[in-house]
Amino acid sequence: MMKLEKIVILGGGVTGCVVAASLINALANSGIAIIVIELAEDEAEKHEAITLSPYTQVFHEALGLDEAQVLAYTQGTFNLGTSFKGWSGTASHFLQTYAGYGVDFHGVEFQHFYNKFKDTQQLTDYHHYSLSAAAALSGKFCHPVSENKSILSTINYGLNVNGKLYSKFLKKYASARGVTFKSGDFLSASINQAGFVQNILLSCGTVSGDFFIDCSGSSAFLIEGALGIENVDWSGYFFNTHRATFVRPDPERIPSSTSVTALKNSWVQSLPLQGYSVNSMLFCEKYFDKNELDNIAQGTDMLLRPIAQGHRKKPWQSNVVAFGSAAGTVEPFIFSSTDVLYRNIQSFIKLLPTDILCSIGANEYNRTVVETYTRVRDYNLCHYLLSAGVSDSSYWNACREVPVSPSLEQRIALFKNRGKVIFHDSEMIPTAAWISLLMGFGVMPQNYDPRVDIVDAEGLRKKIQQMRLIIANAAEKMPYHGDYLRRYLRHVRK
Amino acid sequence: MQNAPIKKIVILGGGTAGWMTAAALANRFAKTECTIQLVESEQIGTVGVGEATIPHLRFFNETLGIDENEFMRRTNATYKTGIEFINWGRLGDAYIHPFGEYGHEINGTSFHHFWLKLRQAGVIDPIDNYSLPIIAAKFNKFEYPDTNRRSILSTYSYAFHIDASLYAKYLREYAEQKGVRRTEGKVVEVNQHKSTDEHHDFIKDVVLESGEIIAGDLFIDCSGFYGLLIEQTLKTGYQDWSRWLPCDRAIAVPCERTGESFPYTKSTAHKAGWQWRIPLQHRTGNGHVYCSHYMSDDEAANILLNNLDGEPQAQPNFLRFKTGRRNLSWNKNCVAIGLSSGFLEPLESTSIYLIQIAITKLLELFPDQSFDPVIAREFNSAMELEYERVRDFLILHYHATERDDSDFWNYCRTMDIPDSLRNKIELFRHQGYVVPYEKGLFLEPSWVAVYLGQGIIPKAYDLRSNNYPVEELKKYFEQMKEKMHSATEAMLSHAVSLDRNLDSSSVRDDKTKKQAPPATMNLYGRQS
Repeated sequence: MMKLEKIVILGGGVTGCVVAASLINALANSGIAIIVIELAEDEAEKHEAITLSPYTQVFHEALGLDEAQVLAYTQGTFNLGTSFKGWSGTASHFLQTYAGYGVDFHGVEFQHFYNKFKDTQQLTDYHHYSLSAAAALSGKFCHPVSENKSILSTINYGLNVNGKLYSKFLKKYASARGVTFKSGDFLSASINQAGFVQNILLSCGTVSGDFFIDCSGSSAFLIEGALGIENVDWSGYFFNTHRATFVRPDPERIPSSTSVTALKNSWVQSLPLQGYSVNSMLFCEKYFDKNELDNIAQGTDMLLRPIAQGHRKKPWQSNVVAFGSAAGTVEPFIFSSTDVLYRNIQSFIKLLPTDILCSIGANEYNRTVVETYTRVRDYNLCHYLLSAGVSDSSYWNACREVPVSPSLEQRIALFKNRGKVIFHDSEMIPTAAWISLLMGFGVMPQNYDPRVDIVDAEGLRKKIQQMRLIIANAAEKMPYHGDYLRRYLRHVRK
Repeated sequence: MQNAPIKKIVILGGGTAGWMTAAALANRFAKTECTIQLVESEQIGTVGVGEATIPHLRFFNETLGIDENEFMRRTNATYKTGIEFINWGRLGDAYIHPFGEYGHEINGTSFHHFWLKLRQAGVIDPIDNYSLPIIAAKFNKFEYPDTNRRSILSTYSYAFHIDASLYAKYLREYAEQKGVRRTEGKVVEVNQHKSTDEHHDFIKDVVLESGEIIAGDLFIDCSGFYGLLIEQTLKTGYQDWSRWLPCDRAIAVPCERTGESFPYTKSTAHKAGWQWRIPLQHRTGNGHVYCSHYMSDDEAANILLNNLDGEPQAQPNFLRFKTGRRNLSWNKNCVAIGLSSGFLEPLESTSIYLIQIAITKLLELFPDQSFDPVIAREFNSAMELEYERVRDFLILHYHATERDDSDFWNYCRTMDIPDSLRNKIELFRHQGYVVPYEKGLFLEPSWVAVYLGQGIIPKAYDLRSNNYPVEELKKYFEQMKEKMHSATEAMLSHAVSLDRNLDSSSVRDDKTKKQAPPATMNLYGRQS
């Protein structure tokens, strides 16, 4: 038996600060000391803007964070979803939101009704049946209302924040509650015979602890450097080798969604913040001429980093657990590495051992986390497999030809046949997101649920058209995102 | 563009599985061109052991538009809020597995962790005191749960004890009214499509003793253990699970009811198996499930007959089974529902649930003439998970025991168990962690009930519990216990509730008569 008394978090970027804030909140009165070592490597992470899906609201609530304050402090914005441009042809455009679509009738999901009527009744695009999408299409936003009958109750949103400011904000939270922050350079770790890290040697001295959390990003000083846990490499599925990040001034109106745009040999994600947007271009050096980057940067600073998707075989080994890019990296579509991070921390806290020598919790953690990563892999892979858009490009042709995992194949096939999405254990991506992604990419089910035919067709057709009108009207009346945000943050003291 | 629809469904066998399937399909296809024919033979008996149910059955009935009180009158039903397990962990032990959660979670930390913290601080108090359905059951009380989520009376759900053969009869009426054609007769031959056909080896038709030929697009095999289509014709194969669940015999016998009827099932462990007691309105259903390797039929029958509450009302009915699962529940154009797709002893009243869930999945994934293999694959993997997760939960009852008073219990206590289960038990033993999953019937409250009820007390608890000081928790616990006891005191007795709700005379049609709450597919009442 070895009692947990001191936790050392190596790395203080977004990951380290999220971890520190979560742990101090969960363990406030347990007498466990928490120390964060801030590293020079953290800087890389801090350049990012990050999306926080609606699920992180639960986390913010648990921490007792005020949303307006978070937004004011981090130059943050609201985010209804992701706008997909050019993925199914240059002019193609669809919106994927965090909210559901339409209304279920008689226990049958809306997409089945949509599928029955879409050809005969010339229904418009699927995303017109989601208020979140309709609002995002015109850059509008307001908070959902709790009144169930109102269409405004269907809104579901996440946040975009500046990574550097967000980590600073959480650092303040954690320090105020007793987490110690120190900075230094990592030199080495000493490991005992049982394979447990005993202490780490830093430029500022030695730090010992009972449990170590590796938040050192892709350096992965402890999980890989000290313990030798390898990565599960996804390069057989994904080709991108680099990520170039650059800042652009604010467009006239702040969009209320992020966007991902397919270009000829790459794709770009754009995240709007207050006054500017942070853009990341993902490409594979084999198919991309790096000289193009100068054109894109237009004289602004550009941060170029390698990216390799994949995850640690065992994110938790002995008394070390890795979070953030030390644990795994996934490309940023509607759900990002940060969303995975939040989910993993929740699992970790539930399994936090009283006795560090007991590995049973680690095994369970690794099992579910690896499963979560695998499902996200399938989800991200879908974007490439289904991207019918850019046809004359060797990059996209290669992306479309990657092998499909059997689980993804079954999932797409079942949706094609039936409009039904399988939900697995330990899955982070909600069913509604799978459906809107597949529909957005034009995978239209051949059959709808036969229960649809039991419902009176004429009445239903009217209801669906009415729904479209109600949604369009409600979106029309909503304020523009920028105006709403200004008013919402008017009284916040930073 | 929809593919060509199924025009003809043939259901083989008319027990609980057959008529539940027929009723649900009839309800779905009532206004379509699809016809449904059920073939059964009066020469072949039904098993009908599944007399205790779980709350999901209410959802099934509600979907069919069946009035609950009418259903209860027709099936001689009583209410059920849990199962009492006697002599399982140790001789003399007893605990109730309730249809409800224990206490409340606090900021995402489950109640049992706080209970463990207090226990380690020296407050020894059974966790049963924090479950309303358990307390109510012990006092023979029953009332409908409250739909108001804030009420303490919303913390449980309920099911029924029914006469399964009467339920089948009732559903037969329902199905026949909705157009299901019933044919009396024994199948003597099954014909498959030729190997040159598009759907080669699919079942084409069945031939009855009378010479009648019944063709169909889709065949539902509800023929019981024998698996006339799924096994005898299609040779699908069976996975034997008896190394983990070694019981392979059962004797069933109804007896006179003595004393007040209780709103829970009783399961008493014996030397080489266990005995069920299921209170119906007019009698008590009893059965002894045992392992023939460790006990003779005579001894088993003696044990059963010596442990009845009242006089037996019929000759004991002897049954044989092999616990396990058909390799595929859906093979070609044949879907096995009920015992033809697998057998798990009724220790947790799952027989009817497994029928219901198969029907639900079949309706969700209902095929068309193309029989795309993707559909059957999904159905099979979903059913595999359902069976395996129930299996693991049942094994836990046998394995988590200190009993060493017979060879049978020595075997169960020391047997090798599936890795998936061993992992779950270890996580609970070490830190009170219950492995979560999305699909599958029994979730955290059920696992906690059996773990603690059978003596697996975790060494540690969730560290987040330390955010709450012991004194504060003690007060909170006391208040909750008090609230539950006073709520129970105010409840009607099970017998009075039965009388009130099932009385169909107009005198009772007054305002005091309460309505049954809406049904959900949830074992524990309110969803937190």
